[in-house]
Amino acid sequence: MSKVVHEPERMARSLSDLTSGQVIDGALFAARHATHDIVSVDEPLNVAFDAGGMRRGTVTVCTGVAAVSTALSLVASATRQGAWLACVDAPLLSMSAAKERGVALERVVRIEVPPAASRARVLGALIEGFDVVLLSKWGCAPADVRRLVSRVRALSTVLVVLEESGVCVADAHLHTTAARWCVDSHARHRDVTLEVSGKRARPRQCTVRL
Amino acid sequence: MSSLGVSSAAVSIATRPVRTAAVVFPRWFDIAADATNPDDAPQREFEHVVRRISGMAPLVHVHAPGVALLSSRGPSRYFGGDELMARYLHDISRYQSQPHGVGVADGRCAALVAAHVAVRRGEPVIVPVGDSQSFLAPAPMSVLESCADISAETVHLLVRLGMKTCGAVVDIEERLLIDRFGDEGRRIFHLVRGADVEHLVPRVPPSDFSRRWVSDEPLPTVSMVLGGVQHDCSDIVGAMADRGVQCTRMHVAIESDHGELNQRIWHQPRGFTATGLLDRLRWQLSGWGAEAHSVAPTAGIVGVRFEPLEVRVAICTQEELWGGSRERDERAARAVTMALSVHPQVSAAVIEWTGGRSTATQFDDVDARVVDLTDSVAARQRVNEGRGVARQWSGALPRPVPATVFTSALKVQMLDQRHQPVFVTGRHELSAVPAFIVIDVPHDAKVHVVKPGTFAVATWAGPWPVEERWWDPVRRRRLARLQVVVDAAHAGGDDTVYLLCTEKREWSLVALYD
Repeated sequence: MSKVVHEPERMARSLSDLTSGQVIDGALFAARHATHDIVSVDEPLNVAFDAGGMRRGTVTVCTGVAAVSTALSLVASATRQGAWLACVDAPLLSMSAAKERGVALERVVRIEVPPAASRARVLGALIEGFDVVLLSKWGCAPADVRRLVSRVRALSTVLVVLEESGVCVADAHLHTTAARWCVDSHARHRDVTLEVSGKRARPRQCTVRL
Repeated sequence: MSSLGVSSAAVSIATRPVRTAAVVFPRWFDIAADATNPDDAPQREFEHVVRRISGMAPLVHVHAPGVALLSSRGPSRYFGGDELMARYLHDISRYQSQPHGVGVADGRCAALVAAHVAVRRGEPVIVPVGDSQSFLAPAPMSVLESCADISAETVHLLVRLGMKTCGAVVDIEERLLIDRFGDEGRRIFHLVRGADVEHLVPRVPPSDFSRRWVSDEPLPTVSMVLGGVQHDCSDIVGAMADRGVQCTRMHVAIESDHGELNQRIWHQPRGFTATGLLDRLRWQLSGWGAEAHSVAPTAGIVGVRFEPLEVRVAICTQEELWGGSRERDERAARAVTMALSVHPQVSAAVIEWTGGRSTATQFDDVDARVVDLTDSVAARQRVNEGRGVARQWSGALPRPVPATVFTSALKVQMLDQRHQPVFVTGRHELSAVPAFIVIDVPHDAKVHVVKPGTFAVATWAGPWPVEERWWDPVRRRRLARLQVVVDAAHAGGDDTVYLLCTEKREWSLVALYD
C-alpha cells in the first residue's frame, strides 16, 4: 500500500525544501498563486466553488429561474474589493437589486452595444480593462466568442454570462431550478436548487436560499 | 528658483496673502461639496447668486456650489472700505432667505472661515489686515479640511496628537511639519499663520497651455459644444501632464455668435482632469442657458477659451499601497473610452442615486463621457448621496427588491375565478380574489424573460398603495402595487414572483424577481 501524503503535510515538506534551498515543487507554486487567482464569492453561492470563489480567467454561466440574482451575488464581493464591473446590454438589470446583493455601485459601468456596432471589439476592450464583466448575451459569431474567451483567459478577467452558448463551454455553469418562495406579508426569500456543472467545476447539486 | 521659471517679483507678490472676500451658502455646500453632476439644482440656483456677485466684481472664483470667492482689493476701494463692501456683498447675495455668510480676510482659507462664522452671526465678518493668525487660532482643526483642502487623514492625525485648534500648531517648526506631512505640512504651516500658501504660485503658467476652440457654425446645444471641445480639453490636460504639471485654477470664457461673453474661474485643488474640465464647462454652459432672458445667450456658441491661471507640479495621489485601486480605475476608464470609440452609438453610463419609491427610478444613469471615472471620492458620493435626495423612502418596496425591472411597463390583465377583471378599490382593497393573470407581450417589445400566456395565481401580497405628490394636481399619482406568485405547475415547476402595478384600473407588469 502506497503511503498517502496529506495536503498539509505535503505543503510542510515543500516549505522545508524551500528553506533548505531546494527547488520549489509544483504544488507549492500552485498553492501560492491560488490565493491571488481566486475572486471571493459571497455566501451562499461560495458552496458552488471548491476554492471558495471564482478563479480569474474563467467563464461562469448563470441560467435558470434565479439567473440574474445569482449573477449579482457572484460579482458582489469582487466589486467591494476594488474590482470594476461592466454590465453589458442589461438595461433591465435593477441597480437597487445589485446594491441589495452587495455590489459596490461606484465601480459599475453599464454599457449598451447597438446592433450596428462591432460587438466583439467592444467586448474585447471591456474584457481588457474591467476585472469583472457581466454579459447578458454573447450575440456575436462563434469565432469571435472563442477569441474573446481566450482573451478572458489571457487577461485573467472574470466573465459572467447570463446565457448558455453552444460555442463556449462554461468553466462553471450555475443552473437554478425549482424555486420555492416564502411569502407572508411579502415575498421574503426563496429556496432554489443550484446545479453546478462545467469543465472546471465539480458537479454537485444543493439547495441555497437567495 | 529661476530654473523653475518663477520670477522673484512674482514670489514676493504671492507671499503676501491676497485680500479675499468669500460668500458661503452652507446648505448648498453641504449638499454638493464636489460637483459631479452639472444639472444639480444647487449649482443652477447658485448660478443666480454668482451672476449677481459678478455684477460687482467681474471675476468670481467658484469653488463648489455654495462657495464663491473674489479678490476684494478693487471693490473695497470702490465702496470705501471692507465694511461697506462686505455689507453690499451680503445684501446682493441674498437668495430665497437661505442662510449665507460673507467674510473678508487675508487669504482664501481665513476668508472662508470668516464667512462660515458670518453665517451664524447673520452679518459680515471682517478680519483686519494682518490679523488672520489670531483669527484662526481658536478655530477647530477641521477648518483646514473644509476650507483649505488638507486631507482628512492629516487633520484627524493632528487632532489625535492633541492639536485641536489651529493655534496649537503655530508653535511647531516648519521643518518638523514637512518631515511628518510632506508638502501638506508646509501648507499647514503657512495656513495657520494666516499666509495662504495657495497663492504662492509655484510656477507662472506658461501661455502655451491656453487653448481657444472656435466652431465654424454656432452650436445651439450644450452637448454639441461639449463634443467639439472634448478634444481640446484632453489636449490641454495632456500637454500639462507631459510637462509634469497640473492646473488647479482655470479661466473659462464662452463666446456666443452675437459676441456675448460668459467667463468664470474654476478651482479644483486636486488638479483638473480632462473630464473634470468638461464637467465644469457643462455646468457653466447650462447655467448660462438657464439664465433670465436679459443675460442668456441669444445665439449659438462659437468659441470657448481655456486659460490656466494656477499651475503646480503634479502631485501623485496613490491611494493604495502597490497602486492597486488607482491603476484599476485608470484601466477601466481607458476601456470605457476604447469601447465608446468603436461606434458612436455605444453608450456607457455610471450610476447615480436619485431616490424614489419605484425601483426603476431609484438609480439613474449618467453618461460616462462627462464623468471622471478615476475620481473615487466623487463616485462614492454620486452613488450614495446623488443629488442630495434622502436615503429612506416611506412606501419603498420591501426587501428583496426585484432584479429585473422593465423600462416600459407591460400591460397585463388580472382576473378572478369567473374571469372578471380585478381592481383595487378606493380603500386600497382588492375587489375580488385574483385567480389568473394574462400576460400579453407585444412582438416589438424586446423582453425575452417574460413568457406570454395565462397563469394561475398561487398567492399574492399587497396591495401596497403609493400616493405621490397629492398636493400637485398635474403631477400627482395614485397607484397600488401587488406581488403575485405564479403557480409552480403552470410555470414549469418553479414559483415565479411578479410585481404588478395598477393605476387608473389598468394593471401592468413592472418587475420580475429572477
